[in-house]
Amino acid sequence: MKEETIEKSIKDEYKDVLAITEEEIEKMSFLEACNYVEKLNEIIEKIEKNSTEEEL
Amino acid sequence: MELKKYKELKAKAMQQMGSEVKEIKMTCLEQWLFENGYGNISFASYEDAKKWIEENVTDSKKRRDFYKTEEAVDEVLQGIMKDLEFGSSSKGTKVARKVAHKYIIPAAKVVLSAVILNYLATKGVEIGLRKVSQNLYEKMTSWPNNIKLLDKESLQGIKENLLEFLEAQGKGILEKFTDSIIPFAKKITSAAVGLLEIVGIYGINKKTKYIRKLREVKNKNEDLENENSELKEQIREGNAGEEKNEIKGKREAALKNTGKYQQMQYIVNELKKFFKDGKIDIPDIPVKCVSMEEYGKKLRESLQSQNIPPIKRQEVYAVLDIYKNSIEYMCSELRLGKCGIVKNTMRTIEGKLQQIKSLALDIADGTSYTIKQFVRVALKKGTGKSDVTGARDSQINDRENGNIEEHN
Repeated sequence: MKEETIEKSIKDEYKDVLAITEEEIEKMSFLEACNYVEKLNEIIEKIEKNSTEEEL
Repeated sequence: MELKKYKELKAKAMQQMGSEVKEIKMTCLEQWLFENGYGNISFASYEDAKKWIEENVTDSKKRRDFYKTEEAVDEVLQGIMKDLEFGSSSKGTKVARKVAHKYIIPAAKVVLSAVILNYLATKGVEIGLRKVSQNLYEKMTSWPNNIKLLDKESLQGIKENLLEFLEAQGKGILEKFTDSIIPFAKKITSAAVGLLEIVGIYGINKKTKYIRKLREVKNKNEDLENENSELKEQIREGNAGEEKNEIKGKREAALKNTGKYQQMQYIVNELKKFFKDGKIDIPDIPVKCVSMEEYGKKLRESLQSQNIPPIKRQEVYAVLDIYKNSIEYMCSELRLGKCGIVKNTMRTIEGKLQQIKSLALDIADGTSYTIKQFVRVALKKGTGKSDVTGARDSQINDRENGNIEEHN
C-alpha cells in the first residue's frame, strides 16, 4: 500500500487517539495511559509493517 | 510518515504511567498504614513513609506483609509497562484481569466464604449443617490464597464454634454460632474491600471525581447546618404555631437530605429488597432516627412483633451487618480522600448475596447440593445460564459421572 494511503487510513481510524494533546497525556491515569499506549503501538506496528513490505 | 512523532508520544505516555505508578504505590501505602492502625500519620513522600515503616514498625510480620504488598503491586504494574514498551497488546481489560486475578478473586472468595458460613448457619437445621460445615471449613482452609487473609485466631474460633455446634445441634448454640460468625464476616468484608482499594488501579482515575463529590456533600451538609441554625434561631425568638410546624417540616426534610440519612436509607432499601421474597416486613427508618444502632432496635421490635422465628431474625441481622459494615468502611475511605469504588463493590456483594439466597432457597425446598457444587456455583461468573440452573446441570453431570455426594 502506498505511504499516503496508509497515513490517511491511520488518521481516519485513529482520529480520536491522534486528537489527544500532550497536556492531556500528562493528566492521564495509569489505565488511560495504558490504553493510549496500546493504540499507539497498533499505529506504530501498522506503519512499520508497511515499511517492511515496501522494502521487500 | 510520522513514526518518530508517534514514538515520542508513546514515550511521553509511558513516562506518565511511571508517575501514576508512584501515585498508586502511595495509595497502597496509605491504605496499608490505615489498615495497620497508622492512619493518622501523613507523609510528604513515598520514600519518607517507607523509611518510617522500616524504622518504626517493630512487628516483623507486619513489615513483611508491607513488603509483600509492595512487591505484588510493583510486579503487576511494571509487568504491564514492560509489555507495552515492547509493543505487546495490554488492553485495559487485560490489566484489570491481571489485577483481579491477583487480588480481587481471592478477596471475593473470602467474603463469600464468610457469607456462606453465616447463611448456612442460619439455615443449619434444615440442611444438616454437620457435613456442610465440615466440608466448608476444609474448603476454606485449603484455599491457599485466602490463608493469609484469615488469621489463625479467626480460623480457630470458627472451628471451635463449629465443633461446639455439631456436638449440641441445639437452637441456643446455633445462635451463639451465628453471633460469632457475624464479627468474623464483618472483618473479612473489610479486608476484601481494603484489598480492592489496595489495587488502586480501578479507582485512581476516579479519585478526583469522588473527592469532588465528597466536597459537594460536605458543602451541602454545611448549608443544611446553617439553615438549621437559622431555624433554631427563629424558634428561640418565639415563632410558634403554624410557623413552628413549617420549621419542623423543613428540618425533617433537611435531615433526610443528609449523607448519613441517605446512607441509612440505602442500606434499609437493600435489606427490603433482599427479604422481599421472604415475606418479612422491614420497617422504614423513623424520621428522628439518627444511627443504625437506633434503627437496629426498631428492626428488632418489628421482627418480634411479626413473630419471625429467631433463626430468621439472625439472618436479617447478618445481612444488615454485611451491608452496613461495607458501606461504613467505604465511606471512611472516601472521607480520607481514598479512591472509591463503592458501586462496583456493592454490586459484587449484592450479586453474591443474591446467588447465595437463590441456592439457600433451593436447599430449603429440598434440592440437594454438595458443598463443592455450592461453592463452585456461587463463585462462577458469566456462564450465560442462571447460577441455579448451572448448579442443577452440574449436579446432573455429577450424578451421571457417579460422583455425587449427598448430604441431606
